[in-house]
Formats: sequence, C-alpha cells, structure tokens
Amino acid sequence: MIQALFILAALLGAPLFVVIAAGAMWGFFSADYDLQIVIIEFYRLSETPVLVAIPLFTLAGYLLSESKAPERLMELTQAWLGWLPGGLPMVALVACALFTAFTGASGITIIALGAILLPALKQAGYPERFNLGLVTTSGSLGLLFAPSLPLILYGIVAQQSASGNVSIDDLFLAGLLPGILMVVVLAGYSAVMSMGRSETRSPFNLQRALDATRSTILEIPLPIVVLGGIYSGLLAVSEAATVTAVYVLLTTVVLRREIPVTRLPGLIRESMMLVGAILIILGVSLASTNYVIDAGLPQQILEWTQSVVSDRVWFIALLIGILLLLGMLLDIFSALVIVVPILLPTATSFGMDPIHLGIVFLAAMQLGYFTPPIGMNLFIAAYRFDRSILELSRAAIPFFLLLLACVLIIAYWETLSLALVR
Amino acid sequence: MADGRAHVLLRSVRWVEAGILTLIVGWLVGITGLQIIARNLNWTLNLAWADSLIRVSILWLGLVGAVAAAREYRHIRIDLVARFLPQRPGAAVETVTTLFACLVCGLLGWHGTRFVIDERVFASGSETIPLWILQSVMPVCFFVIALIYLFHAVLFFLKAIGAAATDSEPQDR
Repeated sequence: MIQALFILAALLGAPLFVVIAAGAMWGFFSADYDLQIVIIEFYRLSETPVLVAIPLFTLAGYLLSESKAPERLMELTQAWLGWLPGGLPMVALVACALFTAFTGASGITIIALGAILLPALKQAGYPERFNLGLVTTSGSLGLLFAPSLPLILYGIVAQQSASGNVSIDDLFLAGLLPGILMVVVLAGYSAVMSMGRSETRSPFNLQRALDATRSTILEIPLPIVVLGGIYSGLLAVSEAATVTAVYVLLTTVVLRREIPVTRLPGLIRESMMLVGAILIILGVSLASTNYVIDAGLPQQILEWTQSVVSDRVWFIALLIGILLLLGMLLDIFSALVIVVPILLPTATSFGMDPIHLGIVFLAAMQLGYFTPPIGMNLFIAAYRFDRSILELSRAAIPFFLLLLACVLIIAYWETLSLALVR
Repeated sequence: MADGRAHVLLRSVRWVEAGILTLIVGWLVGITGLQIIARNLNWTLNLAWADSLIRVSILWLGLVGAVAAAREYRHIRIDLVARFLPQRPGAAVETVTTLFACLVCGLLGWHGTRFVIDERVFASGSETIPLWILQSVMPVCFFVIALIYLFHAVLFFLKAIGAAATDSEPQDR
C-alpha cells in the first residue's frame, strides 16, 4: 500500500532520489532497523574510488561542448568521409557517437552537434524527416563506447551487487563491437537513403582534409590517448578521467582560449549539478538495494521468472521487453541503479554473463532515449529544433526499428560482446 | 525593490555554489593529476593520505551539486505531469510532490545528524581532520535540500491558487 504511494509519487514527478530514499527508509523501518543505516549506506559513496571518474569525465564533456570542438570535429569527419555515398549522415553518426561517448549521452550531443548537422543535411538534399530522425537518434548512439558514464555506472553497480567479477575495463572492451554494429547499420541505412541523390556528395579534397586535420591538431590526441590508454590497459578508468579533464582544460581554456577563465566556475557548477543528480541517486540506491536484497526480492524475481519462462531464449525476449518499457519511463542512470541489482542474479541463473547483460541493458535503454512518450532526446530535440514531439517520434520510427534489430542481435549473439573480453 | 534584493541574493547563492564546486573540482583534478605524474616518474612522494580525502571529496561534490540541482529544480524525475497537465492543476500536484521531497530530505538530515553525533562520540581522535566534520556534509546538505523543496512547495502552492501567475520555474534539464 505504502509502496504503491511511493510509485505514485514517482509517476507524479517527485525527484527519483527522494522516492528511492523513502522506499529504503520505509522498508528498513518496517523491518525494525535503525534508520541511520540509510545514511551509513549513503556514506559508502566515499568508499568507491572509481567514482572520481564521473565528475571528471562530465566536466570534460561540458567543456568540450562549450568550445568550438564540435564544429571542428564535424569539419574533420566531413572532409575525410563526406565523399562516400551517404557520406554526410555517416559523418553525423560517427561524430555524434564519439561526442556522446565523451559527454555521457545527457542530450548534449543533440544541442552541440544537432544545430550544425541539421542545416548541413538539408542542404545536401536529404529529406526533412530522415534528418530529424537521424539527429534525434544519434544523441544516444555512443553509449556503448568508452568512456561513457552509463557504462562506468553499470560497472560500479554490478560490482556492488557482488555477482561475479565485472571490471569496467572489460565493459569498455565488450561495448566496442556492439557499438560499431549500431553505427554500421545506421550508416548502411543512410547509404540506401542517399541512392539516387547524386548531388548530395561533395568530392574528396585532399587540401581540405589536411586543413581540417591541422585545425583539430589539439583535439586528435585526446581520443587516441584516452581510448588507447583504456583499451590497452595502460590507464585505469579514474586515471583516464583525470587525463581527459586536464587535457581538455589545457586545450580549451589555456591554449585555444575558447572558454574564458571567468566562465569556468559557472560551467563547473552547471556540470556538477548533473553529477550531484546522479550521485545522490546512486547513494540512496545503495541503501534501497541493501534493503531489497535483505528482503529477498531478487530471489522472488528469480523464482517468478523461472516460473514464467523456461529457457534462455524466452528469458532474453522477456528481458528486452521489460527494458524497453523501463527505458520509456526512467532515465538510464536511475534504471541502472534500481534495476541492475535486482536483475543480475536472475540473468546469471539463466546463464547470462554479467558483462553481456550490461551491454544488452545499455543497448536496450539507448532506445528508450527516443521512445515516446517521454524519451528524453525527443524533448531535447523538440525544444532545440522547434518541432512537435509527434513529428519527431514519427521521424525516429525507422531508426528505432533498425536499432531494435541491433539490440536483438546483441542480446542473442553473446560472442559479439564477449569476443574481445576473452 | 524586493525583486532587486532577491536577484542579488540569488546571484550570491549561485556564486557560493560555483565557488565551492570549483574548489573541490580544482583540488580533485590537481591531486589526481599529481598522483599520476608521481607514479610515472617514480617520485617518492607519499600521496597515500590523499586517497581517502579524494573519496570524501566525491561525497562533497555530489551533495553540493545536489543542492544546486535542487535549487534549480533539476533533479532527475519522471516529469509527465509537468508536461501534460495544465498549469494550475500541475502546480497543485507539484506542491504535493515537493512537500514529500521536503519531508524525506528532512528525515535524511535528521538521521544524518544522529549518525554524525555517534561518529563524533566514537571517534579515535587520531586523524588530522576529524572524520565527523567531513561527514557532516551529509546532514547539512540534506537539511538544505529539504528547505529548498519547502520553498519550491510554497511557490507551487501560490501558483496553484493563482496568486503567482507567471511561470518562473526554470526549464527542466
């Protein structure tokens, strides 16, 4: 009864961290615990060293999006890839995926790159609906690539639940091929769309490509150092975050001076609001997870699932269905911290690798970003491009179906995720 | 005139938030950067003491960031109501949800205070900075967030009964 009230409060718009905290407190209260336990659990935020990666990557992402780096990244990819069939949409996909990986899929991609992409696509003669769908979809495309925040957060939550050994480095490796699959499928669709539009390509110009490369000379080392460092194992995740933050501060504030020092505190405040919103949810969910496990909910879910589906094939189908539903309602961070601890034991009992589960989870939730009624990116795009939600939803349908196919492939073909890990 | 004063107050609150957050972020970037350099150049700096302080800084950063997010009404939530209900019924609903948030955060602040007092009583007294002082950020921030939501609740209530017609809430996200 009380629990139903809490869910109602969440649906009516109470902050999610409040609802989670209330749930945890009520649970512990009914089980006769001293409610200090909620604070003790919250304090565990300060016992997780890898968390330092979250503010540092977020800061770097905010700085990058405020600088002129998005324009330069666009020019670079366009100069090198623009001549391909479907070249410009491919540029959009690659640039957005890279940018989202570094900025954590919080809608910044649409705001920073969308405004450059949409007019460019229109000028190249692509239909309006395709352009809107592409830009809206691209906002969450890089989610599976290092160093995306949801990937890091999944690692942290899975480690807390102590179900098997989930290292964040392995997650970064595991996301690589599934992420590439999504980009390739959408790029293929773009190539098909560009057929019969001969005027859409711009011929390759070596001088332009070299110029674009020269103008991004400060940015090019960043993904190489960070991604190379992480994927090769030379840099731990938190170290990579420090390197990224220092590097971006140096290039945007000191060397290029695109962000004046006086604007820095305001930008830091802006980015740390997002960090605060994520960390406070993580903190209270440490308490609620503890209660939920104490109350045996994961076991009940496991038993219920085993009574409904008998094998892996149907379990994965059920899982994807639930994740899509969840993705429509919850943002990815809340969904991660609330659902993963409950889900993990069930998934492993059906023979699913925790790392594979993470990739499937994020891939399915990625669709949630542009699924009506409340897919966040739909609203951001609607606001940014001044279109109706309905129009954007319709534009996103082909992209949704293609990516849904990708999610099914990723879910049923485990090797795609695990090949690089093993 | 009252508006002008409120504006100055708002700007100084923002300035304080930005100042604290900038200090913590600057310290984090500096110390973790130094650690990487020290490790790679094999300096014999003993930076082990920094590790626990770095981890506590994350707690501070998260909570102060959460205070700022609460003030700007930007905590993560399912905002169907704000989007689909007309203004006044929507404001009535938000009055209830913000009061609920105020109550829950007040409770968190209260139990946080009890936690910090216990920690202080049982402290070993060997640390340079007593741990309970670093931990007191939890009750302080939860109480501040509770106050902020109380303030939001009053504003929403005024809007719901039609006393404040203008939509002064900052846009979500």
